[in-house]
Parts: sequence; C-alpha cells; structure tokens
Amino acid sequence: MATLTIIIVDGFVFAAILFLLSVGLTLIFGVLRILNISHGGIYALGAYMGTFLALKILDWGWNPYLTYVMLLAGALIIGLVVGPLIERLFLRRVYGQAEAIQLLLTFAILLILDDLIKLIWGTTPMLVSKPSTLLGQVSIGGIPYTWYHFVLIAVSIVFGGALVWLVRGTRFGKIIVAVISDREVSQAVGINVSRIYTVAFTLGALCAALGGAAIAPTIAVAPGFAVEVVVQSFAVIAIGGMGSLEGAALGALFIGLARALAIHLWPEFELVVIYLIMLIVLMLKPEGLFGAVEVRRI
Amino acid sequence: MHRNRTVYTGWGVSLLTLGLIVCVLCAVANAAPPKGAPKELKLGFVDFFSGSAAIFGISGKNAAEWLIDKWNKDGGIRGVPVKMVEVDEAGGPDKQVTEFRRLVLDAKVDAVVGYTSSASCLAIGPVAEELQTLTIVHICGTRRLTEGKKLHYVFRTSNHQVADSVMAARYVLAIKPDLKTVAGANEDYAWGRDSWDDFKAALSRLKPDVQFVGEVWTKIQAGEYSAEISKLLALKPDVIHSTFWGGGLVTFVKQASARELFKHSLVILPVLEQSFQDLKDETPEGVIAMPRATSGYFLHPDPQTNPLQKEFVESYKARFGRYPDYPTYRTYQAFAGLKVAYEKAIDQASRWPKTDEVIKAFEGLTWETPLGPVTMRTDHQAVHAGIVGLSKLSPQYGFAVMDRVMQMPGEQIMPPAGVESPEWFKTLK
Repeated sequence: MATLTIIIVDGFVFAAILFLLSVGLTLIFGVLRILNISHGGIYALGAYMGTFLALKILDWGWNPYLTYVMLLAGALIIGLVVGPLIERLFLRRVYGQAEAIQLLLTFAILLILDDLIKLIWGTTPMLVSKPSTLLGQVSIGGIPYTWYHFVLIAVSIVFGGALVWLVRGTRFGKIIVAVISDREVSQAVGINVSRIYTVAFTLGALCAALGGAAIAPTIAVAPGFAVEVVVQSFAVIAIGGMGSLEGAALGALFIGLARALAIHLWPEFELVVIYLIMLIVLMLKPEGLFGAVEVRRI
Repeated sequence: MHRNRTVYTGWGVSLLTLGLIVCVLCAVANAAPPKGAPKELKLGFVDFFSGSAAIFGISGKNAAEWLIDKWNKDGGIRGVPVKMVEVDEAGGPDKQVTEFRRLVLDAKVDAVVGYTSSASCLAIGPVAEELQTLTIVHICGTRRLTEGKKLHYVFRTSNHQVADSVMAARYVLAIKPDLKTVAGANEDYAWGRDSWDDFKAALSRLKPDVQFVGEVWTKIQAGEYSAEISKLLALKPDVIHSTFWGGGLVTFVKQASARELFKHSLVILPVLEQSFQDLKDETPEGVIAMPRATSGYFLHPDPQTNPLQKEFVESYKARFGRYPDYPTYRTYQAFAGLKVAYEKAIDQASRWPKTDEVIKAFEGLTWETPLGPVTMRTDHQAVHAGIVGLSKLSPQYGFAVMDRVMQMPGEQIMPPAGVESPEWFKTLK
C-alpha cells in the first residue's frame, strides 16, 4: 500500500515537471502551427536566469523567500524579451513555408540559444537549493518528500487551469481560436493577425521560461540541458495531441505514472517506457489522444 | 720581442675565436631537434567541450594547455614544438569515429589523446588500430578497452573501472564492517553496468553474506531523479553504490540531500571528487568519495611537501580559477607519459622515432606525475595507486575535501595483465 502511494506521488511529481515543460510547445503549435524546437532553449534560459537571480538574492543576504520572486522575475524577463525577438526577427519570415524550413530554423535557434547560455554563464553547473529546501519536508508513505514537489504539482495545475481559462473563457482566447480556425477570414474581420501571432508566441515562450524557472531549484543547470529536454517534450505532446492543452496534461500524467511504476517494479524498463507509450498511442490514434484530425483545406 | 708578442697574440686570438666557434656550433647542435624531426608535433585532443560532460572536458583541456605551454616554453619535445588540435567528444560514438578519421587523414596528427566516455573509447579502439595511429586514452573507464585485447596502437594511461569498484568495496567494509544490505543507482550503459557488476563481485567475495536489495537504472545524465530517490528511500539499504558523474551527479546529490537520503544510507560515490567544487557547501558529509581510482587529488600528496604538486596546483589555480580535479590529473598523466615515451624513443634511436619505436618505448615505461609514478604495462594498460576517503566540508576552501584518506597500491586494485577480471575477483582477499 505504501509503495502504491509512493508510486502515485512520484508519478504526479514527474507529470507536473513534464507538463510545465511541454505546455508552451503545444500552445505554440496549436496557434502558429509551428513545431518550435527552440522551445528547449527558452526553457533552459528560464532555468538559468531564474537560478542566476535567485543566487544573487542569496549572495546579497536578502530574505530567502524572495528567491521565489526572483524565479518568477527571471522567467518573465526571458519570456517577454526572447519571445517577441524570436517571433519578429525569425519566425515571421517562414510562416506558410515548407515545414522543413520551419523546423530547421527553430532547430538552429535552439543550438544558438544553447551556445549563448554557455557564453553568458560558462560551462560550470549552477545550482540554487534554497527555494526547494526552504519549505521543509513532508513524509508520505514513510519516505520524505520536499514541500516544493507539491508546489510544483500545484503550480502546474493552476497554470494549466489559467491557460485553459485564457483560451476558452476570455475575449482574447476567442480571438486566438478565430485566428487558428481561419487566418484569412480573421484578417478580413479586422483582427490584427500578425500581432496575435507575436502575442501567442510570447505566451508560449513565457510558458517555457516559467517551466524552466519552476524546475530550476530541483536540478543543477548545466550546458546541454536545452537539447536534452526537447526530446521529452516532443514525446509528451505527440502522445497528448499537438495543440491540445488537455492532451499535454494527460500525456504528462500517463508518462509520469508509467515511469514511476517502472522504476519501482521493473527498473530497466524506465528508460523505454516513455517511448513505448508513445508507440502504443500513436499506433491506436495517430493524431494523439486529444489531437484533431487535420482537414485539408484545399 | 715585439714580433713574438704579435705572433703569440695573433695565434691566441685565432685559437680563441676557433674555440668560441666550436662552442657555439656544439650548443647549436645540442639544441637542434633530432635528425628527421617534423616541424612540429601535432597531437589531437578529444574530450567533452559541450553538453553536461563539458566540465570534464574543460578540466582536461586546461591541463593539456598548461602542460603543452610549459613544454613549448622550453622548446617543445627535444626541440620540436607541440601543437594541439581539439575535437569535441559530444555527439555519440559514431560521430567520434568520423572525427578520428578526420584527425588522422585530414589534420594529419601524429597521435590522439583523449576519450572520457566508455562508449567513445570502445568505438575508437578498432579504428585506431586500423589507421595505425598512436592513441592514448586518458579517462574512459570500461575495462573492456584493454582486457582480453591485443592492442598495438592504443594505450590507456590510467586505471580502469575495476580499480574504482574494488577500492569502494574494500573501503566500505573498512568503514562499516557489519553492513548487510546494498542497493545500486547507476546509468544504463557500459560504465554504469560494469561498475555495478564489478562492485557486487568484489563485495560478495570479501563479504559473502551481503544482500543486494535493489537497483535503479537511469539514462546517461538523466537530470531528474525524484522517483529513483523515492525507491532508494523505500528500500532503506545500509549502503548505496552510485557511479553517477558530472552534471547528473550534482543534480542527484542536490535532490537526494533535500530528502535526507545521505542520512539514511552510507553512499559510495566514486566520481564525487570531480563535483566537489561545483557542489561547494552543499556536499553531504560522510559520503565515501573518490577521484575514481586516481593516486591523489589537489591536496594529496600534500603540495607543501611535494614540489611538483605544489607547482602544478598553484599555477593551475592561478591561471584557470579552479583547483585541478581528477580529469585534470589524468590528462596530465596521459600527455606526460607520451612525452617521456617520445624522449626515450629519441634517445634509443638517436633520431626522430617512428610510431612503432614510440610504442616500444611506452611499454613498461614508468613516468612521474604530481601525484606519483605511473607504470605502463606491456598490455598497454597503465597501473597506479588510488585514494578513497570520506567527504568533509572545508571552511578554508568553501567546498568539500577528503577525510580519512586511504591509499591502495595499484596491484591490490587492478587485475594483473592477462587475467580477466571475473577470474581475478575469485582470488580477491
């Protein structure tokens, strides 16, 4: 019984991490129809900036609770600066072009961001533990967890909920849905489509940066981090359906629970379980769990 | 009288001038490179300069640059300057094979030094033999590189992973002789698998009643270990053995410390020394730590009593802002051994040597390093001592150092030439 509890908690923790990682990617695909490989780079930048600012706060001897504020600040800085920059300077030029070109462009941006991180912060790993240890521990099923793990789960639920509300329940969300459904008609009706694209991409970038900053206190940020997470985030949205927020949540949950199960019961399977699930889901439903079958327009 | 003095003066000056010319000629002849020497000696250096293993590669690069700059200041190897060509080991074994061919065939290097990842060096070995290029492996740990193989062009200048596992087994029994249960947390590839298997073999031989209660396997440099840590906490073993390294190890220590894993079990981390300066004061104390099975680290032998060590540690820290760690020392070992082998071959041949002559000079060679002597066996596997200790925070340095250090001689921790490790474990005592 205790093992089951542990497996469920571990599953949810990893699901939260995966969700925060992938929700930005699926949002951008849903709106811009671009598979944004540079997503990993923005995620890593968010993690680095958050860690960097949090370390500065601790160096100056200020209240350690301010590290949470710094993590948020780091994410906002990255999202609001890098997002519009990438969209306006690069992506704008490849809308409507062949997907291969878009993939190559975003992949190149990912590699550039990865090297930019090395240029700014060097190759030594950076770690800030205060935010994750500050809230103390809690014992579940007989073993200690940090409260920060549950903060991550809470943040991912609140975040997901906020995004769904934004897209479904606000005027801005309706405009985005209109632009997704038919770009030309939206333009004809008077919606500033290119501004919507910039805002949507920035939102996706903010999601990525926030995800990175949220997870930073539990890891050591090191070079190469950006490229490693891209593969995982792709698997999540492939399973959940590209462009679907609910899909990202469910995909993350499936993977999280399956991985936790494997680790506790069949350790060697842990490495393949994420891709095994992807295989099974894609064989049964190629567009993903919540993905929509694309209808050809012409 | 006047005429004699002029004659004597004339002869004297002539003789003096002749003598001076002869002296200058001698000096020039001695400083000149050996007959047939190339304009420069080109050495390829391959290590991780990107990705999460970059902290290893940068240490190695710094050591190589420090050493080569020192040699070139004195004119190089017997007057031949050394030039280093760097290649990034990131990208997987297939890419490394391509890069190796490029180094040999396009860049025309005279020898290649490097390879941290066990995956890379296993791929490179056969290619080096095929291209007949002297290859010095400096760090890669898998015993499969040199065990049971007949190598001609490939050498490894440091102990392999059997030494790490045997030292870990011996030391943990010295610290906790009544241990009963052991669990493992390792990465799922040659390094992790072989290290865990050899540790189990050595420990079972030394204490047959020990129980192995569980294991977790992760991707190389996985970066997320919460579920693995939960399982280890649930198993409650006396001892945990883990060969995590680099960025992955730093993250693991961070996540495990927050959940008090190090309070519940005695943890063995053979690669922890390399992460001391990254973890700073977040290193848990009382962890069994090693610079793998290297014969020292920046505080052992004591720089205050060992001039070679003192010169290296102080100058390295001043130039690069970090104390040398085990990748630094193993890179030093590799390049230093190569230089001594070249010099011995030059002396034996009285001209610039061919590759086979350098190889012959390297076999059986013993050379000095800041940590002590290293000996190259005839099977192209080097042997040296190793140290192990417990982690302890040092207020002076702001990061952890090693306490209760035990040094074990090479013969006690490495299987002898020609003996396969599984056979050797059966004779361990």
